Amino acid sequence: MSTLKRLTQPRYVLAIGIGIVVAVNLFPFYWMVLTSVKPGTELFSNPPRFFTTMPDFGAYVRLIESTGFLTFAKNSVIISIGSTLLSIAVSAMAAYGLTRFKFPGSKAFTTGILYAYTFAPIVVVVPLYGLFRDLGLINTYGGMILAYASFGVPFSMWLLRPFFNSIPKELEEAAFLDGANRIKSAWYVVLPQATPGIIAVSVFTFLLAWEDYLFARVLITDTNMKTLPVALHDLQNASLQDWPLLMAAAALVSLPVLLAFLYLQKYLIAGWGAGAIK
Amino acid sequence: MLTDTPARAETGTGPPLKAARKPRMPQWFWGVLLVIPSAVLVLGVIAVPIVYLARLSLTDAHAYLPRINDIGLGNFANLAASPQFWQSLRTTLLYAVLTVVIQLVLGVIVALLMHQNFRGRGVVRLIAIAPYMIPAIIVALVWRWLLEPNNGAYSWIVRTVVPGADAVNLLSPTWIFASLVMVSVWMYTPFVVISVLARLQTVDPSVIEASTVDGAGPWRRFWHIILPELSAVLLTLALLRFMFMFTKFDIVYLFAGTGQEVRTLPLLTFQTIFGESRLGAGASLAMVMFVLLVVFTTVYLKTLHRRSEDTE
Repeated sequence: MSTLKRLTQPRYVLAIGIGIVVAVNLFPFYWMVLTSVKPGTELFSNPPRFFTTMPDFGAYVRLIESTGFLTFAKNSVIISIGSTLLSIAVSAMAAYGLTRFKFPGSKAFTTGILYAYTFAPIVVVVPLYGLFRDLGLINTYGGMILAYASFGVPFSMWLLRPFFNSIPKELEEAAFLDGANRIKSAWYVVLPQATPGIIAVSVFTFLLAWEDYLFARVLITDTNMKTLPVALHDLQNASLQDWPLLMAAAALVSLPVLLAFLYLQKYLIAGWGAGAIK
Repeated sequence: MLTDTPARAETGTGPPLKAARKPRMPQWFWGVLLVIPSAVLVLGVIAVPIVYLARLSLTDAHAYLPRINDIGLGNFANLAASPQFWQSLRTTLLYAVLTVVIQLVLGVIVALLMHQNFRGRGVVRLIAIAPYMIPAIIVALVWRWLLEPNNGAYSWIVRTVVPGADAVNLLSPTWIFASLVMVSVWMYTPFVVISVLARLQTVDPSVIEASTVDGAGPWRRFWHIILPELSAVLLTLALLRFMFMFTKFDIVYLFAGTGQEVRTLPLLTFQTIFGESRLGAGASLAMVMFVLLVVFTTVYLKTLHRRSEDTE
């Protein structure tokens, strides 16, 4: 009996613990999706209804037709992809440079990057506004891409460095012997080896731009240039009680994130080790 | 897959390899060239604005009017004399310390659960991490709806389960700070879970087996074997999470608004500049955060450094 007890007790504890984690983490998502398809009659019932038998997709139709959602989605996609491409290109170059060449100031540069990594947008957003205004970058895709890419660079580099470091130099030297130059060997030999790290960093940078509110709020003043987080916040303020509409928008904005996460999880978790993101 | 055996054989002969290919440019040239683009981005978007910020913090600049006069350290003197500033600093510290401590405790517990062997572990791990991937605006919206006093699902559960809580409004000024801490913990604990889980996977299972044979129960195993193994990563996480929570803006503003109960330094900065149009005063607040961040980061790097020396 006592052995049975010893065996089963931790099992129960484990099962209950896992059950709690799953319920606590999933319920908000469930409630979000459920609300977005609840017919108006069930929305404010008391006690609340935890399922629905006749889903109503009206909120999604209203969202697409009457809120400019697609425009904001387009802005968000352009800015997020642009920031990701720029940040990856620049930080992969730097990570390669730091791991393959010795040069004066490389140590200072690395330390500087670490300081930049802990930086908070709230500290720089206001002077950045002044700077962007003087340079005509307010309300431009280019400006937003520059801003997010710069915030992506420190952690991207930090994360990519170990990936580049772990690629044996012998591989490159073999390529040199085969007649490849530096650039060819970097492109055909080093880069493919670093792909898992690059995928992880791309997703994190995309997320950084996709979910940011503060920079977008301050650096974009033209309604047609708004990104999704800002648009959603404005929608919340404008339509205080239209929860199906808000939850439909929330579901659509989380969708790409959750899909990316599902498909790329092994890269993300591998890339997380270095300390990853905020 | 590339086979690297011939390369190994060649490198075995050593130096001639370098002599065979004469680089036209010295090594440092390529290093510097490759690093320049990221240096320009980081300097342009972070360092230059900081200089501009320092300049602004010494003026009485208005956010929209073309007014700007040098007032020396006047803004900082005002801050030191302002009860609002000290109140905000206390709120920020309380928010950061509370959320970090709870994140660490829950994060370790969840990571230990996820480290066990059970069916469906892959899916459960994904679920355990999911809240972290969601944009702050979504977390804020969904939680405001869950806690909405009349029709929110969680409000209803609280009203039903907790006796005497019929009229509790979890979004009211009385409760908003506690709700904010809860939501922040929900959102950011996965960061701890992943980091701790990664560390747990490097703990040698034979050490744990040996202690089990010696008759150590789960508690003893945790306190005497697992926790000491985790102490280094927990210290790093505590410092890192503290810095991030200390300067967190999005979730605080989007979920809790700018009420006095939740007015942390980032919110006070935002409010001073955009609500009251006092750009110079707001810049001085941002400078205070900047200096604190530099201090925190220096401490953080020192501990990281010491750790890497310890392990060598």
